[in-house]
Amino acid sequence: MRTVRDLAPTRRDTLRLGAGSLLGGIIGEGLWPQRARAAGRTNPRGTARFAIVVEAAGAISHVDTFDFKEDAGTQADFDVREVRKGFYLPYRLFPELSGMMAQVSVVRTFKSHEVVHFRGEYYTRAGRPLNAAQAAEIPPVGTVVAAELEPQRRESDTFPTFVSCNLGRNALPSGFFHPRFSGLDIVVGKGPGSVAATGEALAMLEERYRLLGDLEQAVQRDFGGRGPAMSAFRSFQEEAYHVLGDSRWPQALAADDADTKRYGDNTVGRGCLLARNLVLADAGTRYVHVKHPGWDHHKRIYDHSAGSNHYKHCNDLDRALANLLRDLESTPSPRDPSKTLLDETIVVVPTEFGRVPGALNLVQGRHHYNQVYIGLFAGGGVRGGQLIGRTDAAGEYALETGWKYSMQPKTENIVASVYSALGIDWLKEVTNTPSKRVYRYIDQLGATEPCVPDEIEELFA
Amino acid sequence: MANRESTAKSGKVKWALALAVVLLLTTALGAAPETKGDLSPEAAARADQAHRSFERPTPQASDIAESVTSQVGSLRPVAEESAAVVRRNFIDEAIFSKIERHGVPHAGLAPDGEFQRRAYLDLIGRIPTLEEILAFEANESSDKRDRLIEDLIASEEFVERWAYYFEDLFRAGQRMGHGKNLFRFWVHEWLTLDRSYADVVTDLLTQGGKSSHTSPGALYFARDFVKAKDDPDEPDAHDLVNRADAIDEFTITYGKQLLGLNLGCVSCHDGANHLEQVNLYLTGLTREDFFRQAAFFGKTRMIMNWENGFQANTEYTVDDVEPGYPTLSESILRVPRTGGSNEPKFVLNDEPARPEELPRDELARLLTGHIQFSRATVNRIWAELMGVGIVEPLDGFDLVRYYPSDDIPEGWTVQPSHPYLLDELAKDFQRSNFSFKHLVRTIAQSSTYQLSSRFEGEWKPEYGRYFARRYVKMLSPVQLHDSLVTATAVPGGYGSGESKADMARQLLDPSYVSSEVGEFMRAFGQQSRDEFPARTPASSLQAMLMMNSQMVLDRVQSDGPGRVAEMLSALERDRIVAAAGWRAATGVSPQPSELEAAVHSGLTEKLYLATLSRRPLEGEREVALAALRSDPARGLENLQWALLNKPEFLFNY
Repeated sequence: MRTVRDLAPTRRDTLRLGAGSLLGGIIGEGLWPQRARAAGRTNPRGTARFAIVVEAAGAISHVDTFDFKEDAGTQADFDVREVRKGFYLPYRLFPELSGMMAQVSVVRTFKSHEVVHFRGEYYTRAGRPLNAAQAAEIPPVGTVVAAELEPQRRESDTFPTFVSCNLGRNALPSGFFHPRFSGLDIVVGKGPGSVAATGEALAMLEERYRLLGDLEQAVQRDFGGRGPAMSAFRSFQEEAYHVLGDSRWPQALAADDADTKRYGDNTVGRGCLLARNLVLADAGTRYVHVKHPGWDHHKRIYDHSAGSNHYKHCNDLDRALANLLRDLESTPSPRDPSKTLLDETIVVVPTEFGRVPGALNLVQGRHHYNQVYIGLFAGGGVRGGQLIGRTDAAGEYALETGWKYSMQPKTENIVASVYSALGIDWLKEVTNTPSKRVYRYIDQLGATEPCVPDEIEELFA
Repeated sequence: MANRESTAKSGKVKWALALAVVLLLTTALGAAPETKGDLSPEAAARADQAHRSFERPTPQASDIAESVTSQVGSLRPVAEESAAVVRRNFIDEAIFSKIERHGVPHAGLAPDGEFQRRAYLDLIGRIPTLEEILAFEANESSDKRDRLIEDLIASEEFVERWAYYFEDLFRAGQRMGHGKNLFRFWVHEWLTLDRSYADVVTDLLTQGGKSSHTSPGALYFARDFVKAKDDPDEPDAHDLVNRADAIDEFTITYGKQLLGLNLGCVSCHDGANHLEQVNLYLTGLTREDFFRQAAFFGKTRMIMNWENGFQANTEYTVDDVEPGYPTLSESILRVPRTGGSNEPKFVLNDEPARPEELPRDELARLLTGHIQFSRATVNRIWAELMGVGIVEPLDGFDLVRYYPSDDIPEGWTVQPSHPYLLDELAKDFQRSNFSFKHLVRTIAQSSTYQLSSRFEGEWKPEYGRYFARRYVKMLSPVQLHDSLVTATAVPGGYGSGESKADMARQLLDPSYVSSEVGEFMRAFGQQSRDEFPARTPASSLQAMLMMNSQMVLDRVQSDGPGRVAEMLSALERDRIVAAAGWRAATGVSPQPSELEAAVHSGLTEKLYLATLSRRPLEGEREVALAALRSDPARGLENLQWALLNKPEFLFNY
């Protein structure tokens, strides 16, 4: 135990947020301020200001993609090419990323605790296996990031620190963290809807909001005498109004036709475009989680006529990710002209586990497989072009873990690497949770076996 | 000087009189929507109705004078009630004795308006309508609060509100498949009949058969199915169920919901050396204790149904033909099972199941007969009505620190705020043959429930545990939606035919409604009934939706179907009525500006009552009048919007 650090906000934060939002809701239940401590020696890199996580939900087949193995399931039209020395990739599936692997590093030896989706997706979002007894108080990774980075918010920042995309009702609540750290989830493809106002609608909102302010001021009857919950809501209104009234917000949510065409008019394309816009706006959003659903190809994985198949999903991800990386790379950082936005943004593609290698199953698909799976990393201090870890010829087991430990890396280590890039001590612990169980930013316990509580240093080498 | 003062006073009186008349008459006459050329059948019917309402005889001056006299009284600001609080039943004895013993200051009784709003929200899930408020105000009988409670409890709306509550509690969502229709019907039925809640729970634990078609109770078990792991050699194997995991999940579910115990921890490991900081009672339990509790369902299995040639993966037949709980079978949810006894034994008193009986029947007998079942139930309902439980969390009872006389280790305190009161409530519940309506009535009639949320003086957080004032909490998503509907008079109109729902509490499963209403309710904390319940506290997204979603924007439009449009279309009539009232009361005609102020005050007053269930304060009235002056249509829209966005609208105080 090295230091004891109180997460209580500074007075400056209190002024900016309005005392109401700090006092609201949960103070009476003893969850705020949090008591936190460092549990070990970490040296967070702080190489990234932004993180974009593109979750391939449903599990990518590793042997057909970034840990390619020629096997009985390999399709004749894959057009496999050696895109970098010793690195083979089906060009048919990834025509754009094939030319960009110098920017991207691949870890090929992740091992998952999980083998069913609802647990697997939770694992990706919460950064730890599902523990039913505690689930209600466990925050998603983005919430932890939002809480950690709050002291860095500037006067001009109006966007939520944590934005997610396409999670809908699967978005995790903020757990024991204050609700202002919960992510704002935006379902793409439906237009900005309720979360943005422009033109006449905005003018009307301004007029109405003024009236609301006047009415509130006129109330001599003291609602403050009824506890802090109501006045806390007033501060949420102020936050919401500031976002709605910020012209950068509808701009970030708007998808220009040419861009949409480039990124792809689908969930991952629109999600990555939104992520790009949020990073370009630099208006407070630091962590974007985009869900790309539908990778669960148990049946007819290579059937072009199936609504969801491996060709389509790979191509969609290919376009979205390639354009995202390209756009970030071609934009200089507003803070440091010698850097690009990609230098300041760590982009990660996690998935919950792999799929069964070898021949396809009886229904021409691949079931779940958790001994090895892949993850992609780029930007934000990551050195591109690396292949980390090596699996056997069949893609069944890890031969070399690829990092300094003999135990295979896990999703926890992806999260630790993101924390590290963002400058967050990944060994921190919060001790006053509602269940009184210590919340560790990286939980070593695991579900099937323990994990190494460390970042993947090799990514940044 | 004195003269001018009296003129000002009489001006104020005139203005108030006219206003009272406007309010009275427009309310009595009902809505008079503008009729337009090309009418749909529905609009024609409305127009017809409006026409008939105009055919009613115009009130005579004497009628008006009489009504004015009775209305003016209610315009006075509500006097603060500081009288001593009367102890009305055993709840009050317990609560106020402790408050007195410990010298804790407490709030006064809530004024009628505050009580009425609260009772409507808690008992039937929405704010009162304008008409209901005026009727309650006009009622001068001394037992009007008790009568209101009785009327609400007897209403169909009470059944709908609480059916929704129990559907949330028992998580009647997609995992019940088509069965959730049946489940819902069954909940409505037992609530309407006020069946013994112990019998209801017995149904939940013992029914078998085809869950989605004939056995609502069987759905309670079937919805906790856990899909088995994939078998690469069996393409459809992922459609099967891991039975032991399903039993574990179900045991945890009913442990929480029916007994207030969180057995989840000991479903993986013994409590000792794990839970010393979490729950002392659980440290005394072992994983084997959990297995033996789970073993009450050890013979029970769920078989996936076939429907039209497909496996229906949410529809099951539940029967009892298995040999017992498999304490060595593979788990995909928790650490490996390592064996142990699978003889059913009730976790709270170690009583074994009688071998000649079906274990599930034994469970129902042991569980409903145990005081902890009643405690957990009344604590849950208490929390729903009072805002916070006597024991918190509701599913985290720590039974070894229940009474002050328990041997409580250092660093711990007695868990319940009022253990003996909770026992009394539990026994009273048993004595009433587990009557749910009796339980709600008992709590709602108490002065404890009827305390104001407003506290004079300095409030200290520790007073909260004494229930020394009303606990203020945000409306639940369903209360909020249905209050929006009530305030603006714009019903939901979701679905069609028999399943048409105007109120959210009538929806089958709002967490799966894909439209804007579903999104709105999820943002305000509507749980998915298929996933782990979690708290969704206030956030800026909620504020955003109140300000900017169609759920609200459509409801304040002057060209829409709601209250704002109705008020505008009745504006001309209001002017005539107000002028008549003015003349009747003062003998002279009002100046145009006086008339305008009177009419606009009437509108403001109506909007305040309909939305916030109270009258505007003087300062608010002035702001509102200024907003209405130049463009009443836009002004009314804005005012309705602003009132819906006032934090007090969003809270149950």
